[in-house]
Amino acid sequence: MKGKLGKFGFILLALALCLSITGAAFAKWSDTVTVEGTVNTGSVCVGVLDTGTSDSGIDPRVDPISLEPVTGDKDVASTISTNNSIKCEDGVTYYQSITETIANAYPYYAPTMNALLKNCGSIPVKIEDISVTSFDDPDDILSSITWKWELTYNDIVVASGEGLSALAKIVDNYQIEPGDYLDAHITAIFLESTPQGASGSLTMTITASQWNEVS
Amino acid sequence: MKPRLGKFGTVLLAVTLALAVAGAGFAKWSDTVVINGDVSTGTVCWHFVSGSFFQHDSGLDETCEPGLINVSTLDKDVGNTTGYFQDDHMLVVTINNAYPCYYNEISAKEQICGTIPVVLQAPVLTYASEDYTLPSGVVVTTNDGVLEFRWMDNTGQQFDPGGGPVELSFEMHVLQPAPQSTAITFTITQSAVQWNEA
Repeated sequence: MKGKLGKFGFILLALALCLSITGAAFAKWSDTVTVEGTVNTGSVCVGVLDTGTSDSGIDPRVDPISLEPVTGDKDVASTISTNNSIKCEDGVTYYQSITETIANAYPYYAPTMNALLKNCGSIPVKIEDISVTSFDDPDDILSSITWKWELTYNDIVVASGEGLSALAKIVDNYQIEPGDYLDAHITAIFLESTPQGASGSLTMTITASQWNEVS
Repeated sequence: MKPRLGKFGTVLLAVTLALAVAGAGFAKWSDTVVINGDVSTGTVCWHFVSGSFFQHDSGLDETCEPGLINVSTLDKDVGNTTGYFQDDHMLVVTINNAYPCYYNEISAKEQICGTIPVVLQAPVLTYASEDYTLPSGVVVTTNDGVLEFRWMDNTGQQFDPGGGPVELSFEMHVLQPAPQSTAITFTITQSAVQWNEA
């Protein structure tokens, strides 16, 4: 039996031919959805803040023999701290650098300086490096100073000791969580060998890096 | 089947090579802070004030009884006293034509020239190659019995920088064992220490 298109078949065939001539194509049914992704990266940021010194008037001193604190009676030397270049703020302002200036020091003058290191970023950091980047001490003042220190983390004492190298050893690799702070309270005791009329300076650079890349 | 980079892999490789060629490196995130420290030290300094030497014998001689008591004026101008500063801290005194019972009062001024307060220590008398400490208010007699001294003021006193000159004075008396035809010379050395170690 011969097949016949019939009228309906003929119309369909004509329509298909027309569509093919005009370049139209047949396509399967489809639809699309869009997934949008937003990636926010964290930040590594540390700031430093000087929180004052123990010399706000009458000199802090120690006994020449015991090196224990004694009650002062005069304002002869001075220890002044300044904060330089705002780094970050979270209700408190933290800075890129601080400067501690001790003037007119003499044997058994013993000021305490306070330097607070704040993690003002959103990524935990570890202190990776403490470098002396500038040093000028022609009269060798530093060798006539005994250093005592106490280290606190969020105001809780975590270590104390003597000598800057011991402090550096404790601080090295110390991890600071976002929003937390490490505070060093450092007392400089000028000994009998302190040279008169001398001056010196040093600059230390502290580098903190993301915690997961510091071994 | 061969592994293929695909378009994305090719792009990454190209970027990596470009960075490597440009010398750039991959670095962990880090930040720095800086701590500066400056220190200067003070000075302890004092010196005799030039021209401040003074002695009381400008005419008639004075005398006293042993123990530096009952000072009185004699009727002649026989002995005399001269002095000069050997250095910032030493006074040299010479008594010429002296005789037993000759008395004089001698003074000099010191000036604080440092930045740290000082406390004056008891001065040291050097006579005939021997040293004697002169506590304030105490009569000290030399070992040969020739002279007696009494330091009068300011030992143990504290002086601050910026203050005016400080007067130091003492009495001296020639005693009976004094040798004849001999000029008597002695020195006074004044020391001071920073106030918090006095």
